[in-house]
Amino acid sequence: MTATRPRPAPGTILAVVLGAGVPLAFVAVFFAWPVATMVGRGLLVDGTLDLGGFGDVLARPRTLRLIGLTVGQAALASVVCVILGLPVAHVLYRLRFRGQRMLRALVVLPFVLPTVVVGVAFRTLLREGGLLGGLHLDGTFAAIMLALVFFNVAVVVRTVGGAWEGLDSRQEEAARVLGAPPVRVWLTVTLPRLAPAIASAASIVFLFCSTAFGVVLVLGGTKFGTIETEIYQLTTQFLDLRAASVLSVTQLVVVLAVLLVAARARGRRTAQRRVESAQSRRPPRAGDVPSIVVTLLVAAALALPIVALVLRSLHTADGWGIGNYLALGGTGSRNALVVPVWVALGNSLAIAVQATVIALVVGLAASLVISRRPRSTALRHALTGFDGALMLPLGVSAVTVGFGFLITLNQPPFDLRSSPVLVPIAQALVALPLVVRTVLPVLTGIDARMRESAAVLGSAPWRVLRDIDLAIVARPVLAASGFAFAVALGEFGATSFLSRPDRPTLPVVIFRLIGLPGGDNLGMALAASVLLAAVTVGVIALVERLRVGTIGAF
Amino acid sequence: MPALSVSHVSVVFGGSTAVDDVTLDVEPGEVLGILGPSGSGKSTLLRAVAGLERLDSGRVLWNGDDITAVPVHRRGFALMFQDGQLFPHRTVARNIAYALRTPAAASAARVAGLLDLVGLPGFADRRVTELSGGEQQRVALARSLAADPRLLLLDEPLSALDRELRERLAGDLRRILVDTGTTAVFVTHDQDEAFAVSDRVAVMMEGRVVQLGTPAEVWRRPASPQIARFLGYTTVLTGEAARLVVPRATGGVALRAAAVVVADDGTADATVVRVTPAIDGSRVRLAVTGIGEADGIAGPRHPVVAGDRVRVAFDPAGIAELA
Repeated sequence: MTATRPRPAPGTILAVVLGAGVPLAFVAVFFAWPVATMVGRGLLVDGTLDLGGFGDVLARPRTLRLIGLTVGQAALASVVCVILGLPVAHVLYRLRFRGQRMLRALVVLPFVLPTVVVGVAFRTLLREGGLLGGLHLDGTFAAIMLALVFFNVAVVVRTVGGAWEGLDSRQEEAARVLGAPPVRVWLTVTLPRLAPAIASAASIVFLFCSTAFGVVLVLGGTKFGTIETEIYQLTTQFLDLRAASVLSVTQLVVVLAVLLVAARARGRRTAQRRVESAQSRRPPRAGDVPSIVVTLLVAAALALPIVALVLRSLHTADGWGIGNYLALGGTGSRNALVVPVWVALGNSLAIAVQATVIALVVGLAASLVISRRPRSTALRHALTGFDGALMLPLGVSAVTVGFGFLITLNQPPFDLRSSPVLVPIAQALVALPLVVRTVLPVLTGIDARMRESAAVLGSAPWRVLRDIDLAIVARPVLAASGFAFAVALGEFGATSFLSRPDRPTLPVVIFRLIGLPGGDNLGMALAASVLLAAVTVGVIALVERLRVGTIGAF
Repeated sequence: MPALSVSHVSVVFGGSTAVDDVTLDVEPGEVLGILGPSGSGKSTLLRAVAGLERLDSGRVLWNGDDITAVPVHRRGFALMFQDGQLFPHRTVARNIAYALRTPAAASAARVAGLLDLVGLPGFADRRVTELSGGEQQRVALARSLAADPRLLLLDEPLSALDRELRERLAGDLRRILVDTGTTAVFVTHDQDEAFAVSDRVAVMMEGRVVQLGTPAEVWRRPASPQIARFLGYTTVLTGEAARLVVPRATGGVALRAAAVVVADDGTADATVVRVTPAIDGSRVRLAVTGIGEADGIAGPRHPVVAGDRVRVAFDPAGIAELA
């Protein structure tokens, strides 16, 4: 007997091809190709494989020192973030008290601040005459470390807190009844169940710190740097593209290794049964005092640089006032800028909107395709691989991407070097993993039988897509656009390579202003930083009202 | 002519045959129950009829027309899942009205009528996430009936509910299907549910239909020892042993625990092996002379302990003859 199969509805195949094709083409042209070309630059000389460049570059004492610094500071920052983040996660996700929502918002705030703003805020705090100027930390390794922890403690709190919130507390209760003292319960019952989340959070923090750019560039001066800042300086100041390629490849290898570890940690996490957070949270008691104290200290430390930044921005040569803000209409002392700061803000907003649209279209299409569970094993593996590939821009440094654009997209068929679309595309690439991580879990959470119910009730495939997938994912998509917009607004690594002198974005302008001190330039940089931070925080506050709850949780 | 014909249908998943050459007819207005243990392929068969699974061979016909290649959404059927699969982003009314392609006013009246039918008047504007499990299943049933489906497919619609609610809803479901004259196929692993709701029952095991008949026929005359055990008969006897229980038996005889009763005026001798207390007396494991070990019951007036020698009687209500 011949097998009779229902044919797919007309248009289904087209939809699948478009859904998979658009994101694939985007990632291939704007990520894989530039990165691959850059790898080629490092490894090929006159068309033949030559690893000599590696030997040369990696043997330089300066390179070795920078690699050591990069890995060392990322590892140290990860450990500090975990140590500080665990008590905070406990207080914010396992206890229940008034003001908890505000405290959570404060802890997440630094994570969404643009890196340049954080760099400026820390310099303001630590420089001679700053609030903590007496500690003489300006330009030290400790300053960079503080800023990295400031940024990333939110990642640990959100990731571990999210997992902790869902843990069934009856297992701890069972252990206590069996006679285990609190410390033993925590070490033998709680910690092992949190381990995957902790590993996952730590590897993400490591990733962010090892590719940190803006903050290190602002705070590190000439003494301290990372592979990332070195690539930037080799390219823009010394024009040593070969050395830059070698460093990019080195960084890519480190990042890939860490991503694999993170993926493994994520994979193991899914096995646990989750409970409603309402069941697992309780009012604080005496034993929680140490973790509450740590939480309050962390919160105060997180608020400090922001407060210092705002205060200092209101301080002018003639005493307190809004002079620095009024100066934003001009181009700074000694004409430091090509355009006034307000115009740069307009550029930033316009470019961020374009980047958001691109990231949303690509991310939503990719998420829809990845969320399907095809019966063919080969196809399922292909989708898992695609999912992983989309996360790569998260770890591959923005500077690498910007650099890759410069050396590939300057010739046919993609001669985009002078095109205004390059900056939004690069920013979209950086925001893409965030969109996918926000939207995809919601889509995969939809029971396939819900779509089947709609289909059996008479809905054609496009109507199922509209009524089920898109209707359910509407709020997360809105939230994802907010995140993407905020990320694009603050993006500095790739933008610093690609933005044209006559159309700078706000972070680029801020960096320029602090690079040319004198006159009112520093004051303007501070005012511009407050402005950028305010816009970012405003967007994120709107997103938080949607209560999708994924910022900083990977 | 039957409304639905399933003709030599097979579905294979990566080498293992989930549905194996199944042929079934459902008459217009009939409720067919498909009863089988988990993994017997009954849900896959239902999904194949709905158009959600590709057939590896065979055909599905509606009123004699081959609909095998008709896509799911053009079949005019409805499918209700074990957990309802209500759309969480829609209210009760908008869930029920989902399949209606009529103006809002007309559909509001239809929704109200359906809510009355399933016993949830006034629930139209509730969020579905606020409903209890039983309420969700009632809404799912209303949604399935809304568009007057030519065929209603029910996949274990009551299994997720607790027992008391399940029994009450099974009665309601039967009434609603009969009142609306709906042709339906109903999948379950629970024989009480199948017998309470269905006009005819098909028993499926390992992908095949192994028995087809009215609930009474299947209940009184299981076609094989496996079917008898699945239906809750704990002991299957053959030959001399069978005739000791039913003297004119020609084949095997299957006994439920309730069929073997400790009684002073019993017809056979037995030794008590094990006793488990129950609400109305005790469940006992007995070694019955000429039969071997069998499950039975002892009433509250017959307190027994292991080792007792007792007389047992056989209650015809708990006995089935294998066909």
